[in-house]
Amino acid sequence: MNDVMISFNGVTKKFGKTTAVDCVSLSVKKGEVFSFLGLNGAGKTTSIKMLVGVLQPTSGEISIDGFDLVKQARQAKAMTGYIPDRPNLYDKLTAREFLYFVSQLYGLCGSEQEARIDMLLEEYGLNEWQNELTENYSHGMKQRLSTSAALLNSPRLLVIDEPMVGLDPRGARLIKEKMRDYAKSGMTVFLSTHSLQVAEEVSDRLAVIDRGRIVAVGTMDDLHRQAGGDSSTLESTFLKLTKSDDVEV
Amino acid sequence: MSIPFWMPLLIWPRYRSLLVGFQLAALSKKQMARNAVLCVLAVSIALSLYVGGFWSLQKIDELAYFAYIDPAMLWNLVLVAMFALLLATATANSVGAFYTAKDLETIVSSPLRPSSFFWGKYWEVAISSIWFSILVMSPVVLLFGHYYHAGWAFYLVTPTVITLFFLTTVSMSIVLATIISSLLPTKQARFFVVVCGVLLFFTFLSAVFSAGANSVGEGGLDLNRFLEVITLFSALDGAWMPSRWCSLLIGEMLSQGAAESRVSELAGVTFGMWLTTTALAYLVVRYAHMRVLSFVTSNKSASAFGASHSGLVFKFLEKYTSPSFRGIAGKDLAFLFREPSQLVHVLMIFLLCGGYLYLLHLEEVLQLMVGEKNTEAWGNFLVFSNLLIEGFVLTAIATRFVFPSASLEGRNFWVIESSPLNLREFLKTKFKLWLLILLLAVFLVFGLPAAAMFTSWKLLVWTLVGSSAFCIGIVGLGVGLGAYFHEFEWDHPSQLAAGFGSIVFMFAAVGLLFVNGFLMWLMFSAVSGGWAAGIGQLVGSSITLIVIMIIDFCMLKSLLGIRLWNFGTRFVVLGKALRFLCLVVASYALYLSQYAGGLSLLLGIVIASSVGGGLSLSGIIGGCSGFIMMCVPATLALAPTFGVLRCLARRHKSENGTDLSCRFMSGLGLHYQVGLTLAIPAVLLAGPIYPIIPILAVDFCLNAYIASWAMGLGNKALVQRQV
Repeated sequence: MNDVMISFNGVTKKFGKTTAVDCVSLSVKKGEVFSFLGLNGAGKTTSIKMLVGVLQPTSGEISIDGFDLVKQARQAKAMTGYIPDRPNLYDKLTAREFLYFVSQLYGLCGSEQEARIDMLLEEYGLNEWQNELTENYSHGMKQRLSTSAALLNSPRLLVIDEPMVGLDPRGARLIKEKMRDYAKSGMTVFLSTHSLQVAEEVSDRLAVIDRGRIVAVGTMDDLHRQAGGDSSTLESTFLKLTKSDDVEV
Repeated sequence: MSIPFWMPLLIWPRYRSLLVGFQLAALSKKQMARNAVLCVLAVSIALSLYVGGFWSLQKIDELAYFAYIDPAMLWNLVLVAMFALLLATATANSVGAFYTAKDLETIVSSPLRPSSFFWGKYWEVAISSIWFSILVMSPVVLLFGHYYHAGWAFYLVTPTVITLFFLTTVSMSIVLATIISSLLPTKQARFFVVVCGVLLFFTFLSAVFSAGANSVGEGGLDLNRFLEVITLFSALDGAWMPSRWCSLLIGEMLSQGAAESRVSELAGVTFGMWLTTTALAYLVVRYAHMRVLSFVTSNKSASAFGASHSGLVFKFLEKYTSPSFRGIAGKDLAFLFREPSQLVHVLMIFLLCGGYLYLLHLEEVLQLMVGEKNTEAWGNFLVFSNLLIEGFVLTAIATRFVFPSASLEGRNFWVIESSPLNLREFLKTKFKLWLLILLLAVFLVFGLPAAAMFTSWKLLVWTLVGSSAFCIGIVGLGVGLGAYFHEFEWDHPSQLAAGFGSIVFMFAAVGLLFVNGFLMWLMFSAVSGGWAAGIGQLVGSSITLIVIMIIDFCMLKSLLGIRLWNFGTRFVVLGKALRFLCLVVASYALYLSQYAGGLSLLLGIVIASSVGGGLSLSGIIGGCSGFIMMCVPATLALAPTFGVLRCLARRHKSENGTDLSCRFMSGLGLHYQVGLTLAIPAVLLAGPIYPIIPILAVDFCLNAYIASWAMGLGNKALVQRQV
């Protein structure tokens, strides 16, 4: 049985003359928490947008559980949940309506849909606000709603772009715990972050991307080794790998 | 950087944004080219208004021997309509500016003087509500001045009077907005406004419906009933309406030998009206604003209106629709009724429908004037003009709602893009939703009054079928071009209907309306059997076929579809020539005999497709369905076959991805299915009115082709966005 969940095969993305992602190849196993680290503008969000089918690669292939994201987009997307960095939600819908809408997009219906929505509203503390328009939500509440929406279809792959932005310490702790729980239940989690602390705490493996290219990939120990073995913290390893000791992260 | 002394402080940030926008636009060649096109279009619209208005005034003068209509009356009609539209727009803008704007927290917490706050917000509402109306009125003022040989004073006074009239409306709207917001929480206030609009509309509808049905009966015209209608509408001419005084003043200036004292009196009344209403608005804002604002803010956390009931709507839809359809339909409808700018336009559409019904009433007046009742020609004229007005109203609805429907997803479009729903399905869902809404409008708003006013039900059926075809075309064009000119990075939804793409769509839609109108005229000629029938059919069939041919050539790649046998590229040119010849022959055959026409059309398509690019599967389907259309009575049982075709096309798509032939098959299946479903019962009921069938078939094909072409274009643009 194939145990690879995500496969990037020579993926390049160009915007005009600018190359945002340059020939990236990597694979992520099922049930793994995989972090994508990089500086601002390194190509993390572009890679994630390609992974969830919002952008198409200029060349190369991406597959999810063996399904090609361009040719078999429907099957690939049906098993994916996506939490973007900026939770743009439909302002004029309530939380419940938004979840209803997303569940319809994923083809959920009937009692299963209702039960799932109720459970997620409860789990992410949105029950009390469920009939309130999302335009009145704080950033953290929007982030929680966006997370609930991503989990509606019980995805086998959860893709998260900058999970901790705008969350209070309790919310951040909740998300970290959830990520570990999801991975234990067999879900693959792919996250991009600048937060080295989050990456260190939750990841099984990491990749460091710099100017569109993968410069290191592996477990934390692998990364230390690739950085020369003399770095004691992830921060110094990261700075060494991205050759940017002078840059404030 | 300093703020000009004459500019209200609160207007300055908007003025700066506008200025920076222009400066940026000046740097972009593309934007400059677009602006140039927009300017040319604006000038041509102004010219058309001028020329059309001049012609109308001449026609009115020709009727002067029968009844003299003085310019004040004409101005009153124009200003009453403007008053209604402006009041609705400005009230919604006032609710937004005074009670829900995002900058209110900053402004209210600052030590700004109440008068500065009032004037800042007043001009904000005024500028956003009246700029377009002022632009539209400019050529109208010039037109009247020129036609009635007015002096320089007219050109000086009239713009001032009209601006004062618009500002009076704005002042009234601020008072109205405060009253509505103080009575109900904002969200419910919006709902309240909609309910009022709906009630108003149905009052109009029932009045016209009952008066129309009873006034022109077998025993002739019932004057009492007829007067009821006139009284209902003349209420708008009351002395309490600001439009009345302004129109009297303008009329006085246009009439020869106007008394100066009367002009001064009326100018005084107009200025006084503005002063009084503005003072009232100021007092209301000065003493009630904070109280109402805190009421609105404290009610902000209340549940969204309809949120607790929306589940029921979804459950109802669940039984009859696909999950993606009910998801997108539910979301779009919620947005329509919860977003103030959308809501205002819903109201304006209601008013437009009211105006349409008012025109029906005018037709009754005309009928009374010419003294021809219940004649067939008169009936045909009424139905045909009803159809044209309906077309314009549908075009307005499509411009405001259908065209921006894809872009309205805004920055939330990632939700759709990352879901398993493919973009073509997304566009199709939008298409289905708006087609349903427009069909509902056609049958309820236009069909019912028409049924009440006109006797020939057969004609009514044909026009409804023709209108349905137009709906397919206009909705497809709207959704498709809307996706092609998508703009997801907007700050306010009203920006979408004012962009370059919207203008392109408007022109395309008016073109489509004229083609459809022409086809309908042919149908009416055929029905009435007059001298125009033969020539009309000959010219009409030739022109429509030329149109189809042009579209065919544009879509040649798509039309060739799956090639079963490839004869080589050198035959493509021969195939095109042959296809052209066959279609020309077919057009004349269509004129001579319907069956022969259908047959030659079939042969033309099959032979030309075969020689042109190999035997095309879609060519065969197109040809066969064309043939079947011509043998209508035998096809009732065959209609489901097209459903099967669509299923096959879908299966093909899911296995191999979307390709052109699959899209074409699917499109063909859909529009023939719809065409047959609508045409067959009509033919069975109405008998063999053969000339009508091919005209309606051409109408359906044409609209479906255009819809399919535009949707393909839109889909390509959305996919291109990801690449």
